[in-house]
Amino acid sequence: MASEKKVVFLRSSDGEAFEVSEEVISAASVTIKGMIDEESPSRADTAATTTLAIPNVTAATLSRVLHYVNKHFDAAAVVGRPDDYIFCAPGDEHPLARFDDDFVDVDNDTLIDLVHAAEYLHIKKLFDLTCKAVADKLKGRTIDQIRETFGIVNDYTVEEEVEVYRENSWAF
Amino acid sequence: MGWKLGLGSSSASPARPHRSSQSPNPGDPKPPGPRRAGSPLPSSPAWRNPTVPRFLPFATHLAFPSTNRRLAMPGNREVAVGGGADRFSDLPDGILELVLSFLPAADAVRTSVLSRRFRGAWAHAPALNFSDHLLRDLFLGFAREALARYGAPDIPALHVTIESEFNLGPATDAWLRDAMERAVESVSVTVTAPGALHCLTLPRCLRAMSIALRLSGVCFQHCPLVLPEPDAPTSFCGLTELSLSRVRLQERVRPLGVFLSSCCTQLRKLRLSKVSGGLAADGGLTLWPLVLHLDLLEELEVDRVETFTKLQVASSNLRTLGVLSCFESFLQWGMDTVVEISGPRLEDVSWSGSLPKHLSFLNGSHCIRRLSGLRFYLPGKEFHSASAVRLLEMCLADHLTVCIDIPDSTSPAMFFF
Repeated sequence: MASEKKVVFLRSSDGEAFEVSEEVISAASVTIKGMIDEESPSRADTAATTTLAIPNVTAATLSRVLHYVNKHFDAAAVVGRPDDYIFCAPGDEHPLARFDDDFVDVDNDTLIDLVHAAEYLHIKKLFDLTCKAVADKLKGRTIDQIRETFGIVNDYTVEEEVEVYRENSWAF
Repeated sequence: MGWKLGLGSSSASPARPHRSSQSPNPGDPKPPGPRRAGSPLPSSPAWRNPTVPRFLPFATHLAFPSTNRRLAMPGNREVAVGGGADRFSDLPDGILELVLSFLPAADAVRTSVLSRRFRGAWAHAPALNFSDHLLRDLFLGFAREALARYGAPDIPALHVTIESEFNLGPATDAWLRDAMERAVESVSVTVTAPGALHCLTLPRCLRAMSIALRLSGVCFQHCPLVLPEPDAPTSFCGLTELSLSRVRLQERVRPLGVFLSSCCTQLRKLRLSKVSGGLAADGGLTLWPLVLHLDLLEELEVDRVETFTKLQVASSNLRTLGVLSCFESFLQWGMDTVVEISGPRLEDVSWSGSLPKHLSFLNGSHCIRRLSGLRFYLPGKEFHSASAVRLLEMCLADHLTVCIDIPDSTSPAMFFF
């Protein structure tokens, strides 16, 4: 059965178009669902597919985001197990946990691009996942290691630095 | 490449104010924006505990070499050197604070010394994660100071993990009470140390919507949990999810069921795991009834609560019920144990282990569509399967999904229905 599954095209900031199931992307992204709902009256009677411009996201990032969305929000692809905690044994790993780990195992720039994209597209699960991945890059590191990892410039004057260390001495 | 305007905000989302760009003058040496002004300083907040000691002289930390220093350029404009663009610092306030909320609190506080952008940012993170993992005996001092310096009276989410026996004393209980009172969304307390917290008395008023307390590690005597006494007003009205684990109730003060039914009327999910009644005069555990009249309750799980005499639940919204190994203890042998469920929408039942003497579904059991946790045994041990068979006989729906456990000790077998 050649199903009538609707698709939409998303055009990245650098002009590349990506095809995605309307149902899946609506479930994932509050922002795109809003765009589709706004468009729908005008295209109710036409067969033309919709192309939505995503001006803040590049093709490289958008393709990663859609990979995530198709894994997590396509009901047909998700490994079947009820989310209900009562049926999850305590040690059970979520079936997508490994996918998520690999997904955020990327360089800093790519990760920050994903954070911005997830925020703009309003995909809560992806936003939390990527922010947590940024946090993981800070965890257990020394101040100098963190500065080096992210290229953070120490802009304190010497006096300020003394003061800020004194202010936070209780945490060291 | 490698050169960047000092305090640019080009990549900030337009919807969110960028802390750096709020600063009246980008070159101003006093960095905290209006939201932050004064917040990390120990000046005035009423919730601050003034008796906190400072642990280490700050000077020991100045041994960190300050690399990557930003050079002041003529014309009051600063330019970064080395390292390329710092896109992490350019994240909008809300995102930066969310990132910090995933860190252990000690790591989050320490980011203050990274640069002006990070100074005091942790005090606005939407979650604080306390753990004594590395702090050990410094934990309480740190925890008090962090609460005192947090940027607002309300803390969205609070997570506490206690791993060291050193931190199981009454001082931790007192700190926990204060901390819990400030949490407005969720609280979780997890003890993994070998032992139990000394004794936790719940405050009279908690605003969190979700509370999960596991107050003991693996040990014989679990932490006593004292419910607020009934003689003064108690408010837990926002509470929708509660999980209690490894606690010993002080039932003489107020039965748990009465407390929940009268003070936590918004409760949607309740989970009790290894919760016992108080100690009897002879040192043994007392048996206790749990009677719940919570009309909004949707999910109930009782797991290894081995001291029930009675479990009675009335809720017109109950959909999911799990009773896991609750009627197998020798204490209950010979007792008239009762489970009485009045839940006309109950769909999903998970049951493992024995049944009580009396089990009834007052609204009938025709709504139950899914039954799980049932155990069947091979010939020779059929008597173990009796409770599974009885449950199956009770479920009268046209369609029933059944999940069956075949215990490891039996050889593989097939069952057909």
